[in-house]
Amino acid sequence: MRWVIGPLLTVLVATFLVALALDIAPGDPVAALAGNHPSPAHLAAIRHELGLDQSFLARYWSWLTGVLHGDLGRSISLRSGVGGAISARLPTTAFLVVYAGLLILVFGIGLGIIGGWFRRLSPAIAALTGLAIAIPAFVAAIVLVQVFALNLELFPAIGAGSGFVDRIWHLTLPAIALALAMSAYLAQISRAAIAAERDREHVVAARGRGMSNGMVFRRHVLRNAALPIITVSGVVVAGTISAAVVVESAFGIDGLGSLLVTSVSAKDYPVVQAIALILVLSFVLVTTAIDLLQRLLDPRIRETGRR
Amino acid sequence: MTELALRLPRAGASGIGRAIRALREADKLLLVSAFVCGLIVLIAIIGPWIAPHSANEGEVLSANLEPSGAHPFGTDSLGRDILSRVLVGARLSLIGPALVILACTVLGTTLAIGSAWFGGSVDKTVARVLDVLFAFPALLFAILAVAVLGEGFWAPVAALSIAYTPYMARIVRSLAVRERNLPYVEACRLSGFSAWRICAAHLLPNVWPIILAQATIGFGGALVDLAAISFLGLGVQPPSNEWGLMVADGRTALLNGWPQEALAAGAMIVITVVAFNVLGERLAAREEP
Repeated sequence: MRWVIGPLLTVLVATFLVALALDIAPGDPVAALAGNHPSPAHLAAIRHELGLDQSFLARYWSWLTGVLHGDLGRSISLRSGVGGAISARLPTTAFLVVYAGLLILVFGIGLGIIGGWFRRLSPAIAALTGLAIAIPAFVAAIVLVQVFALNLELFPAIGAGSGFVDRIWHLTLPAIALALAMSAYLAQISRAAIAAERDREHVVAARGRGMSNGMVFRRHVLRNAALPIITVSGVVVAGTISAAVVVESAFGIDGLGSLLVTSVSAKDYPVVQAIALILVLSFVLVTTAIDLLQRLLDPRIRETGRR
Repeated sequence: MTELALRLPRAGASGIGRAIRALREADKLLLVSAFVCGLIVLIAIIGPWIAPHSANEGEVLSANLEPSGAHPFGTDSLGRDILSRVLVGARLSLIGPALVILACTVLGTTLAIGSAWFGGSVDKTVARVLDVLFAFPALLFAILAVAVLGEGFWAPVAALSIAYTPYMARIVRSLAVRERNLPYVEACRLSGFSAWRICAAHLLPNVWPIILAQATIGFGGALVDLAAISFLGLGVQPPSNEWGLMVADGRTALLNGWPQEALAAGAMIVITVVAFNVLGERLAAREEP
C-alpha cells in the first residue's frame, strides 16, 4: 500500500505546487484572448468562462476532479480541449522515449559489460564514455543532422514521419541524440559495478574451482552487479522523458515537449499544467517501478526497508 | 612536529629534481583538466578584450563566410565573427552554472548537515521535501520556472539551483551521518563545543573535498541544462552572446548549409563539460584511498 500512496501523494503535491506557481505568475491570459479594447463586461465574461473569477483552491479542486474524470481542461491559445491536443502528440513522444530508452539500455549496459569484463578494453571504453557523456542532446542533434542528414543523406533532418517504418526512419537520429549522453552514463556505472564484482573473492574462488568464464560471469558477477545497473537504468530512462523536450525542438518534432515550449512562451497555462502532470507522473511511475524491482531482487533492502 | 620534519626535503635533492619528481608522481589528468578549466574561466573573464572583432556587429556582405585568416571560425548569418562571439559568450555561459552550483552547494550542504546532525523528525521532514523535488526532472523544473517568472537569465538559474539541491543534499547527508558517528565529534561535544562550531569548524572541513569534487562535476551538468534552456529560446535572449543560444541560432544556418556557428558553440560546450567532469572525477578519486 505504501508503494501506491507515497508516489501518488508526491504527484498530488507536485501538481498543487505547479498550479500554485502558475496562479501567482504575473501576466493575464485574458487580455490576450479578448482582443483590442475589450469592454469590462466582455472581460468579465471571459474570466467567468475560464473560471478565473473563482478562488485558487476552488479552481485547483475543479481541475483535479476534472483530471480524474479524464478532462484536462481547455487550452487558451489553441481554443480547444487540452486532452485532444495532448493525445495527438503523446504517441510521437512515447515512441521517441521508448526508442531512445531501448538504445540506452542496449548500448549502455552492453558497453558497460564489455568495459567491465574485458580488462584490456576498459580504458578505451572509459575514454569513449567520458567524451560521450559531455555531449548535450541538442549538440548531438546538430552534429547528427550535419553528418547523417545533410552530408550522407541517410536520414531526414526534421519531422516525425507517419506509419511505423517511416517513423523509425524519422526518429532514429533524434533517438540517438537523446540516448548518447545517457547511455554513456549508464555504461560508466555498469562498467564500475562489473569491474568491482570481477575482483571479489567469491569470483576468484569460482574461477579457481574451474568454473567456465561465461558461467562465472552470469552466476557470480552479473547477478551482484545487477542492482546498481538497474537503479541507474531507471534514473536514466526516467530522465529521457523530460530530455525529449530539447530533442523534439532540435528536430522539429511535433511532440509533447515542443508543445510544452510553445505553451510556456504563449502563457497557455492549462496546457503547461497538463504536460507537467504527465511528465511528473511518468517520472514517478518509472522510479517507483525501479524501487519495487530492487526490493524484489535484493532481500537486504526488502528486510531493512532502506538502502 | 614530526610530521613537519618528515616533509622536509632530503639533503642533496635539488629544487628542480624535486619538481620533476613531483610532476612525475602527480595525477596528470588532474593537471591537464585543471589547466583547461582555468583557461576557459580566463576566457570568460577577459573574453571581450581578446575578441578580434565585435561580437554584436557584423557586415551583412560578409555573412556566412567559411573559416579564414581574418575569421578563424568563419562568420554567422548576420556577418558576425564566430570566434569573437564564442569568446564573448563564455562569460554568460559560465556565470549561470557557477551561480547554480554555488547556490545548490550552500543550500544542499546546510540542509544535509542539519538533518544529519539533528536526525529524527528534522531528517524526516527534509527527506520528504526533497522527495517531492526529486519528482521534478531538473529541465522540467526550469521550464516551469520560465512559465511563471518569464524568459531570461534568472528564472532557469533559480530553478536549477533548487532542482540540483536534493542531489547535493543526498550525497552530503550520507557523508555527514558517517562523520557524525566518529569519535572526534563526541570528543568535541565533551569538550563543550557548540553544535555550530563542531559542524562548521570540524565536520564541514572533513567532508569538504568530496563536496568540492561533486560541485565540479555538477557544474558540467548545470552548464548543459542552462544551455539547453537557451537553445529552447526560454533562457537568455538575443542579442546576448551565449553558447546554447548560438547553437540554436546556428541550427537554422546549418540546415541551409553553413554549419560553422552551431559546431563552434557546440564544441565549446563539449570541451568545457569534459574538462570540468574530468577535474571533478580526479578530485573525487584523490579522496578515495
